[in-house]
Amino acid sequence: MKFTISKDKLNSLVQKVLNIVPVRSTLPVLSNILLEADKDKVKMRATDLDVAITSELEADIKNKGSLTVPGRMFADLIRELPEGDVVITGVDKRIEVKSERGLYKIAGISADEFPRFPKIDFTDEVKIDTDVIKGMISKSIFAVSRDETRPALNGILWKCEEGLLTMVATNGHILAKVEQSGLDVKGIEKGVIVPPKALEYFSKLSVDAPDEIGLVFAADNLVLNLDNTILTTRLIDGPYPNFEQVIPKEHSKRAVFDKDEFLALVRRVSILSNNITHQIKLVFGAESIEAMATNYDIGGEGRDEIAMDYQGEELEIGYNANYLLEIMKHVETDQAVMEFTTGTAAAVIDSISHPENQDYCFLIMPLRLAE
Amino acid sequence: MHFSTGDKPKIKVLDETLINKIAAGEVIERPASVVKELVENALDAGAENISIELEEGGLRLIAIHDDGVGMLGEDLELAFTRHATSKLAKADDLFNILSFGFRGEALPSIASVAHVKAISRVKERDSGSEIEIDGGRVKGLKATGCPVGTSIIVSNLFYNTPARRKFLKSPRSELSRITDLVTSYAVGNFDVGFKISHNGRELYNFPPAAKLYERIIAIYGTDDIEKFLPLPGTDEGMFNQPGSILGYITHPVMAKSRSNETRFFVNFRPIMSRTLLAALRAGYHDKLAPNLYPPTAIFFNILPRDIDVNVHPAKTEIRFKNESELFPKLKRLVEHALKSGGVLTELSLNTDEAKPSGNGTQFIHAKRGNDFSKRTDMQESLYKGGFKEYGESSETAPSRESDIEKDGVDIHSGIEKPHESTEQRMWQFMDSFIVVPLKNSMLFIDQHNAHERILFEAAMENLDSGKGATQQMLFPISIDLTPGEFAIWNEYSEVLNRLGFETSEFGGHSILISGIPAEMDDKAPESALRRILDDFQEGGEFKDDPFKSIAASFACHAAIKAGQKLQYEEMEQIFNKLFACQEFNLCPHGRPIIARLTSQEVEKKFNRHVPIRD
Ligand SMILES: Nc1ncnc2c1ncn2[C@@H]1O[C@H](COP(=O)(O)OP(=O)(O)OP(=O)(O)O)[C@@H](O)[C@H]1O
Ligand SMILES: [Mg+2]
Repeated sequence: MKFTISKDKLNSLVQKVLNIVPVRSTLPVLSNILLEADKDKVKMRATDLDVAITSELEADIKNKGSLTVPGRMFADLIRELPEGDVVITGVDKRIEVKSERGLYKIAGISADEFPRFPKIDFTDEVKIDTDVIKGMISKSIFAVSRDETRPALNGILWKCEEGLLTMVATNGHILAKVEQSGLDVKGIEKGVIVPPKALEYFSKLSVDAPDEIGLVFAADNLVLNLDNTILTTRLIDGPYPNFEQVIPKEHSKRAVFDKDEFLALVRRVSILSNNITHQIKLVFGAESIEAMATNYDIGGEGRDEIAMDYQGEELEIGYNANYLLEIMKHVETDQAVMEFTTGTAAAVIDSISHPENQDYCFLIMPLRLAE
Repeated sequence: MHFSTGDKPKIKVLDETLINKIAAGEVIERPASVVKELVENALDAGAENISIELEEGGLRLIAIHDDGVGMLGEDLELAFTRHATSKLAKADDLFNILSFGFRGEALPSIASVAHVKAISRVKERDSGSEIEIDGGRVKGLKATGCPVGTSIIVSNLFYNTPARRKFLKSPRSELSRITDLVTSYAVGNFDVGFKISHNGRELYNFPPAAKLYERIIAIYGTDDIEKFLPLPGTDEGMFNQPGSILGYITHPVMAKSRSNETRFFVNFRPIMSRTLLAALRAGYHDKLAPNLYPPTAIFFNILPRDIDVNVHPAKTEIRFKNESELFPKLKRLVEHALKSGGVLTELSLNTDEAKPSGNGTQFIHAKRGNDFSKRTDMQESLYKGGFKEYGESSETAPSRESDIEKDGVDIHSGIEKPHESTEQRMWQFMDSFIVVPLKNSMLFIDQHNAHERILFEAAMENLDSGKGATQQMLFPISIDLTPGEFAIWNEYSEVLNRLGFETSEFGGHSILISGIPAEMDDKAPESALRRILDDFQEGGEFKDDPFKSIAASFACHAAIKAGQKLQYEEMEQIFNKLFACQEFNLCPHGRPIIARLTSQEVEKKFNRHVPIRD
């Protein structure tokens, strides 16, 4: 293997795949990046066995070949090289990196030991606006559960029926649902569960991604095609809980208030909440929301209120303040809406209006008040 | 002199009823022992269906009906005579025992400490016979009409041995011993139907099953069935083949705090064995916490001459001739089942097996258990004993985690930080300890013990003064309880409610969890609840103080575990809460929470004997 490429190009390529290289791994070869030189392109691959990335760039190839190199060390070295062309040569199991005046050698592992990547069939690929997908991911990913005993909740449900793409995430206490119409992703009518890790990487990578990305679902994998970079992730086995069933359709009470005022209120009052339960009590009255919290450990308590537009009987209800804050941050309009019926069932939090083709809402379960 | 030297002989041969009473002390300890002996007799008689009626935990009544071969009138009388058995013809047979009984001791022993009525009929006769024994003495034999088979009715157990009666636990806890025991026999003899009722209420009814699998479903329900992992060859089910080891183990998430469902059978006889338990554990590697026991049903078929069952009066222990061969055999089978079930990977088994295979690992097939990433993390941090990445970030190469945090896409911080202090004050070590450097010492806080203490104090308060806060759930969880657990739940649901659990009856022996205490670690609340019920069943740790027992049990099972990765905020919360506790040095069971490494101790390791500065 031998090729020449500019330092800047090489650096951007390495940095892209480095994200996937596991910090620690029982399988030593996974700490490595696989380099492949073929015809007129260099490819780099990395995987942690859950997510795999392949990225490629044009280069001046002298000899074809492949080898793996320790990812972090290689990346550090490339980043520090002076500007100019770099010549990479594979000699036995070592790689030689030649800059204008320097020569570095790093021992690698044979490419045979690297996990094989699946062949991807792009015939069913759909193109989707990058910002749309990113927006949907960021509105749902925060609700993903961390409870490993409930694997299905450890990912985001993606489902596409009749041109409506839905993403849902829940940790059993809060739930986020985002919908976008006018999209036609094939093969996920029944829904698949995508682990968040790959989606996080995607959100990072997509900073300089093309306006549209390609999506393919194939054989238990989701493939994201960002032109020169392909991100593959395994999917999580279902079944996903029946989320439609828990979204209340009718409400007897509706509160409309200023989102930022509400955020500030909850932040202030929750400083004095129990620091494990984060319990905060909200009283929805005719013209105001009153928030209260008590922390017996420090002998502290707080009470404050903001104005609100409310329809319904007065209601007292407890919540985990952190969940409220997290959800409220994703409400996009200045006014937020909160709808509910009783103090023991899910409340729906929503923005006052939605952009065309898009819809979303959040659920939060109460933290029943201690008596 | 107080001694009389009268003309009566002082030494006499113990009369038979007395001998029986003494022997009964060994065999018949409690109601469950009576049930055990009678069930074994019914199984020995070839019964296809056994039904058991109980009252007051068996203390008032134990009645067992079977449809086995039955007894003739004269045999019925003999059966209650000591050392009368149809099962051992000559001494040689002691080394070839295939039946459960062989001593001819059980019936006379039972009859010496209770009122017993026995009714039996063989199929060759049109009518049966009935006999009553009171305090060991036969009161009469008469003909009676009855179906083929045998009924033994034992009432007022230990009426004549008040001391024995005193040692018994509450009827509830005696009942749960009986249901445990019968369930074991029902697993071991899945082709036989078992029915059991208590105070007129049917507890369970297992119809005869063709396959072990069906019996397991009958007992555990279908919810958890995919967590039962078969040992190789179990599906074909040659349970009668000498040398076979077949059955099911379970995914580690099923593990319980008591070993009563970790069942081993040798020739269909439930037995206990430290060796087998150790082999089972070895097979789970690091997937099983040392204080937990996975439910299992493992059947060993061993030639009678290769075992000795005559070691323990209750026959619950057994001696193997080839114990040293059995250990690695069982361990391998368990590993195999866990691998097929996706719990163990080749990687996690052994460091030298962990070398990559030459032809590369297929990515697309890499469909493992979902706890893969967590497992590798944990292993590595344990083996290398290194600090977690929090402390590791080197100046030159920012680690992936810190990158993500900078970009603000760290999904798992999910929760907003309580205050935006940028400086890190504590780290996690081995995923089990929170390390906090102070001015002149370094604190190691055991995360589990600490959280346990916090929860314990919160629970004590909630039990005392009303009710804890409940985080309600969008997706309530239903769990199938065993009859014993269900009875306990029924009795304690009010207490659970005070702790902050929200549970309700859900048909049969199932309950629905719709809310959990807000303080508890919300991972797998159903297993925590189960373990709490198991502890209640045992009667609790602090005999004098039931609230304390409940709070301790709740704290123990609801606390975060060792080996669990913590977010920075979680560490801070534990730290702050711990020092707000009344007692922060010891967990409710008396184990230490904090260890301290002083600067002098560290300096000493470097042979530096610097005077203490301030
Ligand atoms: N349910 C039954 N059906 C038919 N025969 C029975 C039944 N129960 C007992 N017997 C007969 O009575 C005998 C005595 O029973 P007992 O339980 O006292 O002794 P065992 O079973 O032979 O030995 P062990 O003391 O080890 O249990 C048995 O050997 C058997 O012949
Ligand atoms: Mg017997």
